[in-house]
Amino acid sequence: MKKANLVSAIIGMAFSLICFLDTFTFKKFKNVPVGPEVFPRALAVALFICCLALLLTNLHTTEENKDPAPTLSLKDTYMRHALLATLVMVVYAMLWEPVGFLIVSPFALFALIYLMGKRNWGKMAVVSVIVPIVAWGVFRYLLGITLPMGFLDFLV
Amino acid sequence: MKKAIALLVSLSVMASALFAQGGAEAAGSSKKAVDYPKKNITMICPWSAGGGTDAVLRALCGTAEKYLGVGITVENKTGGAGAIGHAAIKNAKPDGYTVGMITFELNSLPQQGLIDFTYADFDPLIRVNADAATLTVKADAPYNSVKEFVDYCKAHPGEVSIGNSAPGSVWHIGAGLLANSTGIDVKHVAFEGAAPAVTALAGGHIQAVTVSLAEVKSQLDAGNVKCLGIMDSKRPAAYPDIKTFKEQGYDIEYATWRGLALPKGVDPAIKQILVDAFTKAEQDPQFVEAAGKLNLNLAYLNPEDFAAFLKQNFEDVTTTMKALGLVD
Amino acid sequence: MQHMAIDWSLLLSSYGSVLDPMVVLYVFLGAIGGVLIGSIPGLTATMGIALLVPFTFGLEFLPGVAMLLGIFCGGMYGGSIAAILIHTPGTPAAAATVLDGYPMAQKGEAGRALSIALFASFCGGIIGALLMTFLAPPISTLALKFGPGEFFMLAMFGLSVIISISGKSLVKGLIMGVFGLLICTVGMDKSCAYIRFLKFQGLYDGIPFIPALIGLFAVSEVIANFDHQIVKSNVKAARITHVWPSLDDQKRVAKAVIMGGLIGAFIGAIPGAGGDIAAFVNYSEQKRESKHPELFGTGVPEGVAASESANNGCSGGAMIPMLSLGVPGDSNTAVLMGAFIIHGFQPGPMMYVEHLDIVYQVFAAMIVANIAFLIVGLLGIRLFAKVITIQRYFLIPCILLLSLVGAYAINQSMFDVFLCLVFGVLGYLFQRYGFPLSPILLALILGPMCEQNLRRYVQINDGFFSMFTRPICLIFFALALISLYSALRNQKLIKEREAEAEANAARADSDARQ
Repeated sequence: MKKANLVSAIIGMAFSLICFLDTFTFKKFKNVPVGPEVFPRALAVALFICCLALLLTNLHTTEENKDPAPTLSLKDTYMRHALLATLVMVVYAMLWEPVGFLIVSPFALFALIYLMGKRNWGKMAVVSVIVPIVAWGVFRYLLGITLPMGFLDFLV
Repeated sequence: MKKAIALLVSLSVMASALFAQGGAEAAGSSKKAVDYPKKNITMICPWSAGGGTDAVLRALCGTAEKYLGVGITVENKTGGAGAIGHAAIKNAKPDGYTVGMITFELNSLPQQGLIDFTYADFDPLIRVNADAATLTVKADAPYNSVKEFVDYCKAHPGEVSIGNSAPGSVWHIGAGLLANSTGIDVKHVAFEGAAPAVTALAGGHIQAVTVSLAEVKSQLDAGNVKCLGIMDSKRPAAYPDIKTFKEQGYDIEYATWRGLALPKGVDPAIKQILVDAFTKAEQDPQFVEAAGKLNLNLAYLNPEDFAAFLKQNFEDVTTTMKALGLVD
Repeated sequence: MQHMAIDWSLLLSSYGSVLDPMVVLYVFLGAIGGVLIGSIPGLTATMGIALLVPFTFGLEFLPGVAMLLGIFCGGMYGGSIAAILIHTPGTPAAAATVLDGYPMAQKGEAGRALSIALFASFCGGIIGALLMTFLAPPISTLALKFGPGEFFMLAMFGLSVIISISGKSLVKGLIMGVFGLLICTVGMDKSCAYIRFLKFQGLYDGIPFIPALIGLFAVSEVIANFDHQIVKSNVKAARITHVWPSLDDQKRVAKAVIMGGLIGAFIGAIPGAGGDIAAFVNYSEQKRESKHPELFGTGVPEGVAASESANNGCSGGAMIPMLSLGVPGDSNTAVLMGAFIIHGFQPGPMMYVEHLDIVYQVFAAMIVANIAFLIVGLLGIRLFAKVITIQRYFLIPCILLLSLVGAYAINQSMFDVFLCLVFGVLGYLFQRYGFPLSPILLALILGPMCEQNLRRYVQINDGFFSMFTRPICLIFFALALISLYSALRNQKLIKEREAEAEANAARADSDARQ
């Protein structure tokens, strides 16, 4: 975990630095004792200090591979799966409005189930189609919430 | 050949039908020329369910459904101090099936740069209510009139805290208007809404609030707070003891308001149907009773008057906000 | 504030009106709906109540309010189901239940966890409802005394709880907590009408809480399920032998439950502080006082009971300021108020004077609502536990679908969906590298309360130090210090115990080799 902790600490410190600097672009308010920049600045400093602490405690510790950290290496098949799955999710969400929830969901579900390792095409297809329809129906008729319909707008 | 003739005949039948329809419209008359409404109407509320605006809207819609013949579904699109809901109304499809309730904030958000459109981007229908601001203080406070309060503030500059519902909100501007007109130096403390501000007042954590009567009613009845004055042209019917600011020598009138509006571009015929229906709903005894329970001051204005009011209100509010330093 | 003596005859007659078949029917409908809504991540009890308040317009007052109370109480329990089974709190109030509920499920004890959650929720709820019935006036007088200074100290106390839920690494927990507080400042500054950091319209009101919650807890789990081989379902379909915890378990969790009900009710009575805070505070308290604090987080019944009893106790408590002051005790009662208003009853000090009968009917309905969800839960536990027997291949993608729909449903905004995904990726990365998620949640809940009240106080009183002369502020400050101290001491204890355990294991190893 040592390397991972060091990297995390550095990322954290960089992030807090960016936030701290950004607070200087805030508008100055006249009559207010505690302005909008006070808390963010204080918190950014606190975050920096905590990350520094993480960095320091990991620099001089010699417990090498007590908890070997999982790596984000793309050579690992399963890491690739996770990445692909995330990509599917993002594209899926992006297509909700233009294409419509009811149309995209079966494809997305199918893809995700496939990525999880299932190969029973029949079952997969059935689940991929039924679940979105049921979800859509429950939200539409029981709760009055319409999901983006895209091409199927006329159904609303 | 036969096919061609058949096609020609059907086309001409359709064409004549269209002309006949157009002719009927041109003839005007009491015939409902527009086939509206055919399906349910969506009503957008920029404030959250269960709140004051939402309660009024639902009560009004419940009554209006009778006159429209279709259901009205209220959709709460909250956030950004009303910005999101108002934007949703403005951007809705102008087919008459989306209406919205607009509130005072429409005239105070543009100046703060929180929305990039104004009242002029809407097609106003009717104004529903207008609730004047009051000056409310704790029941055991040493001042009993607006003048005594003003004197106290002048004697203790920078010490008195007036609570409001949010920075740049209708009540903040109201408090600012009060402070500017009377020349007092007070602190404006923002809360997450009118209710927490009133509670803080009842608990003695702040000295005054300038919210509407409806929002202080229950504490007033319980005897925890007292109203020193109301910024209206007449005393409230339910509380004839509360003097107006004018009576006490301060010419200040200020109120929040709510009304209905359409996005621009809706067919005037459809608009007229909506105006008629909601006007009847507002005068319907069932709604009047509900409004009474909600302590609302019904202040109907027809579309033309409402549009004129919006313009005047926007200019007045901008002036006050500039004086308050809320806007450069 | 008048202190009402209990009008016993009125109290009894109110039970009579509530036990009307129509009302009971609606309570059960509400309870079923509430448990279902609560158990689906993305749908919260608050949403359920908000969506059904207009529906009660057409009903008479009592059946309508009874139904909403059913949803309220049922929802607070229902959140634990998803928390235990799929690592996502169904409602924010169940966030602390994840800490021990999910590990229990992974050990094959899902049924036990579910039954304890039900038991704790019911008992906590009844305690809260009784407190509401008998102690509302004095408690509401106390609630009025809470001003900006007191709220700030309460928030500080809540934040001190972060230490005890930091898991193994204190520093990492702190980092997550501070990170959470920092991202709370994004969006509109509520004291100054100024938008800080990112200027997206979807972030005007700060980070939308529910989508962030769903992303951090549900979507991150979904992603995590892809990155390793699915071991052929070793989660035994935990055969539920009984739906009610064993007598042993009951005795074990009794303290957590009773304290939870009380703590929950008190925190609920503070306007604006809700079930989520109550659950974490009680969890932290139980861990603090336990003889084996190191076991919290690995799957102990006390952890589940602590969280669930507090969040249900909070329901009763939150009704107190709502009814007597017209100020909601939490987000659910805020929406519930709408139902009262629609029927012409203005919650506030005058409720007790003008409509005492209504007030008592609400009290009675609350008790019935608790009984209703108990029955629903008992009947449903076997069904719920079956959920994890669904093959992971199907379950995980469906959870993703529901999560995104839930994130969308709150404000019908696509921005929330994308935010949810962003937090999902973040949550996944955090968990992978040993950073605990609960502190972020706590920070998201308490951050705004902390900042706004401090600024308000300083503005009103021209200074910060006068806070320490106010009794309630001092009490919470002291509680915060105690909490911090014990948590630190517990961490030390945990580390010692771990070192001991390792030394023993090493000794046993070398013994065996000889």
